[in-house]
Amino acid sequence: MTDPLDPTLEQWLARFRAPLVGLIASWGADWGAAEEIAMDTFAEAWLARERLRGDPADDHNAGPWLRGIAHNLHHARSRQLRRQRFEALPNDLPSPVPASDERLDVLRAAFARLRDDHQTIVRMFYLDETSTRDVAALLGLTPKAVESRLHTARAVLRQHVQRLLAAEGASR
Amino acid sequence: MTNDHNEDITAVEDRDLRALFAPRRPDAERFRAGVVERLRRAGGGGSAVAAARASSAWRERAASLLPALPPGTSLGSTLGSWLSLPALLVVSCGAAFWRGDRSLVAALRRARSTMARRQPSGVRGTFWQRNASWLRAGLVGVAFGALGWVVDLATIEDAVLAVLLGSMLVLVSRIGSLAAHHGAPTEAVGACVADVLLAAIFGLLVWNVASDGAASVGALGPAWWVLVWGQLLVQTLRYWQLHRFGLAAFWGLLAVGVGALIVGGLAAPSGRAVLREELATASPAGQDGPHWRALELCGEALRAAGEDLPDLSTLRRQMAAVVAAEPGPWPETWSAGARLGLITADQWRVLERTEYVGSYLPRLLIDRGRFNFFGHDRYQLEARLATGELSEGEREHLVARIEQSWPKAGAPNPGVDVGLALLCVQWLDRLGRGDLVTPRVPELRELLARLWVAPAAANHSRGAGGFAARAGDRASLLETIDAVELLVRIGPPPEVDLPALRTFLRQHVNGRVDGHEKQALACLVLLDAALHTPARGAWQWLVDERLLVGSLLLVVLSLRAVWFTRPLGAVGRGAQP
Repeated sequence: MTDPLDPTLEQWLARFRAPLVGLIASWGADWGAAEEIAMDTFAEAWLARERLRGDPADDHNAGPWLRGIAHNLHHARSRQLRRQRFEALPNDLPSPVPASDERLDVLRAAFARLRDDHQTIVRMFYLDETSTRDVAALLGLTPKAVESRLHTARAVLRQHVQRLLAAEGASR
Repeated sequence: MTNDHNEDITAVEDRDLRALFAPRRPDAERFRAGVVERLRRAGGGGSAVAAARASSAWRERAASLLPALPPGTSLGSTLGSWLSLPALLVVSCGAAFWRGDRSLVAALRRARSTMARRQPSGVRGTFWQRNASWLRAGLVGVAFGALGWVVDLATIEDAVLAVLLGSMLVLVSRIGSLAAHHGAPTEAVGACVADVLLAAIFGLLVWNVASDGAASVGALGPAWWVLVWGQLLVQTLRYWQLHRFGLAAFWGLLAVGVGALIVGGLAAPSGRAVLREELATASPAGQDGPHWRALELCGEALRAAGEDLPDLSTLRRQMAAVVAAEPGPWPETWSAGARLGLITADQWRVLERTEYVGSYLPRLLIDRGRFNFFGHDRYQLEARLATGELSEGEREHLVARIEQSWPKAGAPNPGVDVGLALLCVQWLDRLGRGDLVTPRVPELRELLARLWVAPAAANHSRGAGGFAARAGDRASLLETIDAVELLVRIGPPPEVDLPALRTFLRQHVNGRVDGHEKQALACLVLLDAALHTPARGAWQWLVDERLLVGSLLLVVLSLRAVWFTRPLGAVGRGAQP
């Protein structure tokens, strides 16, 4: 039996879980750590919601609120890791190793060549079934701006894929 | 790879990208369970942030040096309280002042009698030399302020007091050295004193900004102003001693101005007359919820004192204007209006047609189970009662929902308990079911005792003496105000130290200039009127106001240092034997 949560928190989890994990991963955390930090973020944000000015159910309030807390928690974790740099901290969540697939390997290599901001938007949007509205709320952008960036990122990604395939063809 | 395949892959479909990230996708159920687990842990022992605060390096160091105090120890009641950090710092400041003053005055007197004749050099120096004191003070101040990022801000008052204590020692040591080697003329001593005070002023300023204002303003504000005032007095005295009367008059005028501000601030407005005037003249904007809440508290305080409310026609007109002008989601405003009787039935009907009120109010009698809203939504019952009689069944429905809404210890929804408890109590009273509150009084007192931040608990100097949203957090003004309303209704638990609570509220009256200051003032009057809080003893006052006392001692020491000096030109003028 699952514990009941407030509807607003349920809504936060449903809408912002994946894009927030993607955003934290874009800041340099590995996937397992990003997920842990995102869980901490939702818990902290909910416990401290009295300090949130405005309606917690409103995108314009919840998005920056979650992003700010995630940013602080990520920094705190980074500082902790720097202090303990000689002791590798095990991740609480194992990061699954992606299965090898030729098609996805090319895409993965092309993704690695994208600019940071393009990588961020792609990570946030494609990690799960996410709407541009939710990504926009977390990034403080309009949904139109997110769509535009996604379009550009996909176009650049396509060019990288073409180049990679061309280079692969030439090498054979 | 075939050409067809290449064309296919270069299309970069959405499904490909989703497949790329699929192995990294967080599992929804596991993620949710992780969040629930974190909330449960926080309910038992504080959030991750609170836990980090509790285990901060500063506190660990302090704990290693100071004897442990049992949580909830009442200051002044045990020997242990005398060994708490605030008490030790107060005693140290007093001792430093007494010893420093004696040694400083003796050194300066000796220097005056033996100071060799010297002539002022008349060289004004380079820009850097002339402004060296400002630059030094600025650098030291910034470094001091930067400590705010390192030291746990919960101990900010004690940290600042420790720095003021250090400033006294530096002052005495530097002036003693000047007296021994250079005769301690006014020029040198004045510059030294100005350096020390400027460093403290800059430091407190930076610290205040760095610590995100609100909570620290009440604690640091008066001490900062006293230091500024002291700096102006020192400059006045310094130029007076140097017979530069124009400059002395300039600094003196500034000192008088700042002194008037400080006296005005310290003699913070209190008493019912202020509340009556506020109720009679205020006309806050609709969205100014804190001000409306303050007005609501003013009304409650006057009622608790057995006084009639003043003429509220100005407020009524303002409320009518707010309701008529496309009101927004302002629950505090409507709650205040309801409690002060400012909103008519017709106006409630207008509000019911607005998006915010209209989306919540109909659900009051339709929804089942516990309330999904908090203290600031108290207006809903008043709105329902104003626009029509509740049937017996509807009343029972509401009572049943209230009974399910009482805050429960360990529930995964901490942080709103006091507001929710207040809502339950007030609504039961309003529904004529105050009898249902009586059996809840022990658990409500237990709730208040759990959220009470005792002044001596874990050296929790700032944000102590009030109520916190969650056990283990610092006290907050808004929680404290709700808690005061609650304990006025149910009586205070023995753990709550009423004089300390009064001090907490008074600090916020001194330090804030917005609607929250007015709330604190009204709450103070409510507390006094309803519970007849006893006056603080001298020792308690000293510990509570230790930052102010420390800054005053530093200023007095600085003034005495300059007072006992003589300028170079005035010493040994003319032929000496």
